[in-house]
Amino acid sequence: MEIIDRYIYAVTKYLPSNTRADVAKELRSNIEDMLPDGYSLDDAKKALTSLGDPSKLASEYSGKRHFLIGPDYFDKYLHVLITLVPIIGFVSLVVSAVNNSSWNGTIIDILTNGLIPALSGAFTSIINTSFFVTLFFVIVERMHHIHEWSVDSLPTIPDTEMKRISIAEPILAISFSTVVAYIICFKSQIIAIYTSVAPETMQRLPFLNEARITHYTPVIIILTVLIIAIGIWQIITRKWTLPLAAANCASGVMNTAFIIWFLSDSSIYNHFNNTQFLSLMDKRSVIVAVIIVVAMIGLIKSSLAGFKSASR
Amino acid sequence: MEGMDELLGSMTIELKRGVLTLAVLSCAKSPQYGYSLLQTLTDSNLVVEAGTLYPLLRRLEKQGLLSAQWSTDESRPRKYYLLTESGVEVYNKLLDEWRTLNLNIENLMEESQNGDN
Repeated sequence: MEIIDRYIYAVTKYLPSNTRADVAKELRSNIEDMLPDGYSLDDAKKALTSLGDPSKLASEYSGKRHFLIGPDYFDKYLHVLITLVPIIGFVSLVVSAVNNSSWNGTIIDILTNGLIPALSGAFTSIINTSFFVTLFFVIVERMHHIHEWSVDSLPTIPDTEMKRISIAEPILAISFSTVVAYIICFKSQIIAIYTSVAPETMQRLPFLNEARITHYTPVIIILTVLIIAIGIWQIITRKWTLPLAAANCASGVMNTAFIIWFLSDSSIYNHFNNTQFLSLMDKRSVIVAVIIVVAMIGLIKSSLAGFKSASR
Repeated sequence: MEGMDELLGSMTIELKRGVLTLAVLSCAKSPQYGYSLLQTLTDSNLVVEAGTLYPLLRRLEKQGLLSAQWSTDESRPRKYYLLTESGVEVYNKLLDEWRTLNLNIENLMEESQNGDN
C-alpha cells in the first residue's frame, strides 16, 4: 500500500546506504505483521500512527549523537560569539564606511554611498565571523573526547565582584583602539573640514598630513596590538591580577606618551588657506591639551583601578 | 493534577526503558521476530513502543548480543533474532545485576518504611 511505502521511505531517507535496504525490509515485514489479512487503508493508517514520527524512529535506528554543537560546548560557543560579534561588527562598520564612501556629491549621495556599504560590510563581517566561530566549535565538539574533564582543570572563581572585569570594558577598548588606529594610520584624510565649494559638491580639507603620519604607523600598530592583547587577557581571565594591572598601566603610559609625542609634532598638521580651517588650527594647542589631559586622567584611573583590585 | 500524571507517565516510561534490554534478551533465547517479541512483551504487561523495540533489536545485533537471520520459510520474509553466546553471557550477568538491584531497592523501601513508622 502506498502509504506504507511512504512511511518506510520517510524513516529510511537519511539512513546510511548500507543499512537502508535492510531496515526498510525489516520495517515492512514488521508493519505487515501488525496488520490483519486484507487490511484497509484505515488499518494501515492506525498501525503507522502507532509506530510514531518517522524521524524519531530514524534517529533511534541511526543512534548517533545528533547535535551540531552539543551541551558540553554550547555555552562556551555562545559566549565567544557574543563577545566577538560586537567587536567585529563595530570595527567593520567603521572600516566599510570609511573605505566605501565617496566623499563627493550631495548629502544624499554621501549618505547612500556611505551608509549602505557600511551596513552591508558590517553585516557580511558578522556573518563571516559567526560562520567561522560555529565551524570551530563544530570541530571541537567532534574532537572533544581527546580532552577529558578532570577536577584539576576547573576554572578559578573570580574572587569577589571587586576584582571582576566587566566584559564590556575590554570589548570597548579593543573596538575603539582598533578603529582609531585604523583611521589615523590609513584613513586620516577623513578627519577634515568639509566645505561646499560649489552647489552639490563638497571639498575636503584634512587636518593631518598623510605622508608624515606614515613615520608613526609602525609604532601605532604595535601599541594597538598591545592594547588588543591586554584586552584579550582581560576577557580570558576576567579578573585583575598584579601582572595584568602592571601590563595595563605600562600600556596606558606608552599610549599617553605616544599621544603627547605624536600631537606635538607640528609637521603632522596640514595648512590650507581656508578661514574655517585656519580658525580651527589656531585652537589646535587647546584641543591637543584637552586630549592629553583626558588621556592622562584615563591612564591614572584605569591603572589605579587595576592595581587596587589586584591587591585585594 | 494533569502535570503530575504526565510526570508519572514519563517516569514510568523511563523505568520500563531501563528493563527493556533485559526483557528482550530473555525472550531471545528462542528465535523471535520483531512483532512476535512485541506481542510477548505486551502479553506480559510490559507495554513497549514498537518504535523503541525495533531499533533496539538492530542495536543488540550490532553489539553482538543477538544474531539475525532472514527466514524465507513462511509466506513472507521475516528477520529472526536469537541470543548469541556472548548474548547468553551478558544476559546472565545482567539478570544477576537486576536481581541484586531489586533486592537493594526493596531493602531501601523497607528501611524508609520503618523510618516512617
